[in-house]
This record gives sequence, structure tokens and C-alpha cells, in this order.
Amino acid sequence: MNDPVEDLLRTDPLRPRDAGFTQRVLIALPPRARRTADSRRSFELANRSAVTLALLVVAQRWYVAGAGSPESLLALLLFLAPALAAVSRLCGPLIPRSLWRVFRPGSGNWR
Amino acid sequence: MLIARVVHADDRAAFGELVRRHQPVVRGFLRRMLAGQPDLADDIAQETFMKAHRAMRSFRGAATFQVWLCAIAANELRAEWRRRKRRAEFNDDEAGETCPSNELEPGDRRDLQQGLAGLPSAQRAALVLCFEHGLTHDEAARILGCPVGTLKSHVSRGKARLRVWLEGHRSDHE
Repeated sequence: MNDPVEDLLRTDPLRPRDAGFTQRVLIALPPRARRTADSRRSFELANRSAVTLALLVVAQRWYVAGAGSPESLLALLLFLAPALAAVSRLCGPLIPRSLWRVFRPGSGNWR
Repeated sequence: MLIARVVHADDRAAFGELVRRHQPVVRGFLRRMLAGQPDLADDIAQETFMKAHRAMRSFRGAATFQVWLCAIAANELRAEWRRRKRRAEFNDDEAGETCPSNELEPGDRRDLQQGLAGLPSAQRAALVLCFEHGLTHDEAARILGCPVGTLKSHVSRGKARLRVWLEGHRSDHE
């Protein structure tokens, strides 16, 4: 047996809906943060450059500290390969595709 | 899908669709809780959607989007009570304020509105969420920030009290 109070609440719900309210909310929202594709690209490029530079500095210091022995060089390469792969995976390709195309043999376009 | 469009592209049309879909529950809940003050209820509903827009990235889908929105609305309601120096919590012992009756409302709806307005806020919120908007006890408890057992107790006490009020009110009219 149904409860009359439950029935009353279910059959007569208060559910206001109108387009005016939706418009009111949309108008009150803050303006959209505009981040252009160009600024995003330059941000990514700056990040990648900084990470690459930092890795090279670390590698150079390490190499110098190890007095340039073949073992040290091997250890350096073993460290650099996964580190560069990880950076490339996290920040995108270290050399952007657009730049890579310029140096690709046969492209013939240096401008 | 709509949520992803809002999060990743700040798609205003998608957010408008979310507002259109979910405003009946949010506005209905707030209007019941602020009986007799529909403009204030709509102001709080607007603030609820604005907060939701700002915090959309933090929505993880642990509850439905509707439950998440109602929880924000309940927090906004507590903040409003705090501003008015009222007890800033859903309580089970303080009777609600009676609202002015709207003569245009038909009999049962007016009685229901007045009966609900006389209930303590926790009982009113529990009845509105569970029966008027069809949420589960678990979802309503999550919104009101109380254990499920407490919520069930609010529901049964609220139902009993409202039933007595409605019967008394009808017999007065006869």
C-alpha cells in the first residue's frame, strides 16, 4: 500500500524550468579564458627547450665529473636515452614536427 | 559527454544544456527549502551553477552529476543561513517558518507547500530529495552530509509529521 504523503510528493513535484534561468546563468559566467593556438605552441616549445637544456647541462656535468672515461660515456648514454624518451612522452616531441619537416631530406624548403 | 565538452573546451552551449537539464531539481529543492522566497532560491541556484562551472574539473563521477550539483546547492544554502545568522545546518528539531500561502495554488499543492514549510529543515530536505526528486537514501544522505541511518530517520519522522499536519489541515476545512 502506498503512503499518501509519498504519493502527494511524487505526483505534484515542484520542478521549475524556464529558458530565462538558463540564459541568466550563462550571462553571469566569467568571460572565457582565451588561449590562442600560437601562445599554446610557444608555451610547449619553451617547456621542451628548457627540459632539453637542463638534461644536456646535467649530462655535461656528469661527463666532466667522470673524467671522460668510456664507462662514464656509456653510463651517460644509458641515462640519457630513457630520460629523453620520458621527456618526449610527457612534453611532446623534443624537436617540434613543424621544425623537423624543415630538416627532412628531400623537403627542399628552408624558408 | 557534455561535462567533457565544458571541461576541455569551456563549451558554453554544453553548459547551458546541463543547466537546462538539471535546473528543475536544483531550483525545486531550493524553493522548497526557502519556502515563500522563490527569488532568493533562484539566486542561490544561479550561484550553485556558477560554482559548479568553476569546479567542473574536480567532478570525478563518484556520484551522479545531479547529486554533485545538489550537494553544492546544500552548501550554498548553509552559507545563506550563516549570512542570516541562522543555524547553518540541516536540523531535525527546529520547526520551519510558515510561508505565506499562495491563493492561486490549488488546494493539495498549497497544503503540501505549507505542510513542508512547517517541518524542520532536515526532514523537509529528506522528503523533497527522496520522494519529490526520486533520489535514493544514499544519494540524499550524501547531499545533506549525514549518515544513511540518520537520513532514514529524517524521512520517517518527516512523513509522520506531514501526515498529521495534512490530516489536521483537511479536517479544519471540512
